[in-house]
Amino acid sequence: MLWVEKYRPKTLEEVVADKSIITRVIKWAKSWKRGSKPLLLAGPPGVGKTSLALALANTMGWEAVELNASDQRSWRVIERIVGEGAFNETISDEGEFLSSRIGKLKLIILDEVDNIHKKEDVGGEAALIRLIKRKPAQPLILIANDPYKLSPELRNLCEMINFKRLTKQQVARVLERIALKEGIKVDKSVLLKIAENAGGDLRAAINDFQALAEGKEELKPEDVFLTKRTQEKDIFRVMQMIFKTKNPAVYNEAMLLDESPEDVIHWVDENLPLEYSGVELVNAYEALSRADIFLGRVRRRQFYRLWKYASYLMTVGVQQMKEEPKKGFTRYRRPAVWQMLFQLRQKREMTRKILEKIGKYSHLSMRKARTEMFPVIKLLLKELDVDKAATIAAFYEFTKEELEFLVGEKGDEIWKYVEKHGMHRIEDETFLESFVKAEKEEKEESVEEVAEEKPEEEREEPRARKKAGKNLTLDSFFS
Amino acid sequence: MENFEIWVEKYRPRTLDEVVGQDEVIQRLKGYVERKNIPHLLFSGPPGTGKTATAIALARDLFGENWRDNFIEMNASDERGIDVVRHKIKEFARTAPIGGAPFKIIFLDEADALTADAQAALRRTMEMYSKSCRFILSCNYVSRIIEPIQSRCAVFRFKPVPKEAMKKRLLEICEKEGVKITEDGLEALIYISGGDFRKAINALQGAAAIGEVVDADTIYQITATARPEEMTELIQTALKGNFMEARELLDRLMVEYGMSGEDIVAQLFREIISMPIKDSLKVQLIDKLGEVDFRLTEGANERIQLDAYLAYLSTLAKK
Repeated sequence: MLWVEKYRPKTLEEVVADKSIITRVIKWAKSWKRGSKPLLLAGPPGVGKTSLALALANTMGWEAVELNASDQRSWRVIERIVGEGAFNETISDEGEFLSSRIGKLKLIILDEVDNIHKKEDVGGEAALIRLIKRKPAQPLILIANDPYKLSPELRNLCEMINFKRLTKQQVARVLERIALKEGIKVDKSVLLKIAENAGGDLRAAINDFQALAEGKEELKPEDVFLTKRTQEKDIFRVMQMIFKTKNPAVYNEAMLLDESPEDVIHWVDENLPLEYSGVELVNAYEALSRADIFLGRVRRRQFYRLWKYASYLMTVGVQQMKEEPKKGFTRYRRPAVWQMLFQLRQKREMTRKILEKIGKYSHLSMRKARTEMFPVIKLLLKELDVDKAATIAAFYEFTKEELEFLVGEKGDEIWKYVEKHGMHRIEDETFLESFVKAEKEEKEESVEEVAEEKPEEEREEPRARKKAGKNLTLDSFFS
Repeated sequence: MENFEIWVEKYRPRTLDEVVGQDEVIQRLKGYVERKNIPHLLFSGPPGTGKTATAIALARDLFGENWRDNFIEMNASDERGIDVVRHKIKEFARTAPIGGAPFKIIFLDEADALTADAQAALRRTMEMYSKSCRFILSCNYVSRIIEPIQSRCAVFRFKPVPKEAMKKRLLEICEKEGVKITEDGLEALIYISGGDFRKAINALQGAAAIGEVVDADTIYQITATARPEEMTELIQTALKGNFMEARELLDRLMVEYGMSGEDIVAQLFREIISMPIKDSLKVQLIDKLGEVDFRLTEGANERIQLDAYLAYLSTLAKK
């Protein structure tokens, strides 16, 4: 059995974490009711986030349901699993449980949420946001390594608790306890060495310790051969090796990283212009561009063996494009692109919906709707008076959000006007007849009914009917 | 105090008689309406000449009030693949025409967006349902439609709307909307439209919204604002050798306008073509841009490819 499982804390008292964190978590659990914010536990790997969540469930007498967001890739699956876990209890209007399992709440622990919205999981995070807004009937804990890969919206929906890397001493103390229980004789300095190598990652330290010591009666200093572990800070080291040296070992170093080439390329892209300029910049970007093409091929065809070419080009390829290693200290930056991509996806989704509506009502493909109508509609919504802009909004059935997206604050005004005057589209009617005040609607309908009974007449005088519709609209607008 | 909205919709023809500038086509189509029967039709012609409007007007004239029940509109460039098109056609063709109509009409816009294989599949579908359905296909170029389909259709060519007919219609619209337009404004409108009614009316409405009087200046102003000003700034910043600043602009364009890499490249293309720089330099810029465009479809991250292009632009300044 893995020691990390064997010695996973059963109660909150056993969890290695700051007192303040434990206090906050207990407070959250004790005051939990439907509609409480979910907890977001954020911090580097192996500092006890999951352990804390599991121990909390134990302490509270809750049933823990652990889901790994990065295993269950599609958001539908997440919604189904979390949705069922969270909603299948019968509850009264006051939010009280009516089921027989009173007091046996299910604590849903969703691990690695910072991995769901990337890559193929389009909509994964959106689904999660919807889910939280539905106020699940069960407590929910989200776990993430990097909370800043999440959207601000999701973060704001949660109560975030940040975990720091554990100190060498904290880690060594846990190892000491395990050594005692396993009956292994080991010097404190050895444990500190293991702890140091693990760099604040308790899980890594326990795994290393088990590999070195299991089945032995004594672990001597000379038995300790540790492979260096890679951690977040190593991505900075890789950046340094790319830009400050010409050492091709950077390729191996990059392969050891926790991050996939999909992530590393953004690091290189972000920091490349801080170091290179001119021809070096162009050539390095050419290498990066080629690397990206390999990533594209992997993504489309799942040829993971092509990753090595991408990795090589984005590290050694970029590295070799410079004349001389760069000097001095550079403060490397985290890629801004993740946050950007998230915003971008939302915007595009919004644009797509708008174009669909324009295409539908103006009989155009989305491509043509984009080039031919979108700019005009945006301009008109911006320039026209609110009452007139509202007729356009109603014609295309734009929502409040879409209007705000198109013209900012004015979108809200337009929307209010549409709402106030009950403007809406009547399917299969010409535009002139489409907008009537809610209270005038009955009149309009009776006109239509008459027309339907006499199709011959209607066909003879379509123009006249349109006029009637127009007058109605004008009356209602300006009376 | 007119009821204001999107003029291209407001002045969309409702009947065949209202279609402007396609007299021959309309005469022949009206013959079908009299006989209450149509063959499969193929409408070809440049954008904005009234192909879709004519198809809808024809359906209205044929079916009267039931036209919506007997008419389906699909866009070959939106519907993902021929299977989706076939499935929709099957669903639509399954039920009998409503209100005593002899057949239903399936309008497939931008049919030339389908590959030859897809068109072959479409041909079979057309045959399968030809008892209960008529197809109207529209395309920009007849030559992009496979011959077996052409031979099954009566082909109608829509011409760019003649200058005089367009002038007359635009003036009618101006009068109804109370828009003052100068002679040079009207000329400019006709010039930029290139016989495309949608473009002309959109530009007219845009110009009317921003100025009291529509003249040549406002028309050109409107057609220029169709692209974000930041695009010009983006290129110029990059060409000055300021990569970091250019990249920030690029990020902003993508995030604020929700533009995709393809959008950006398309805009860059237009921008570069009309830039006041040496043509020999333009050739280089366009060549490289074409490569970027290709790599966008091959690669995984648009931003990397676009950054690479900006880096390329930023070195040209030093020369």
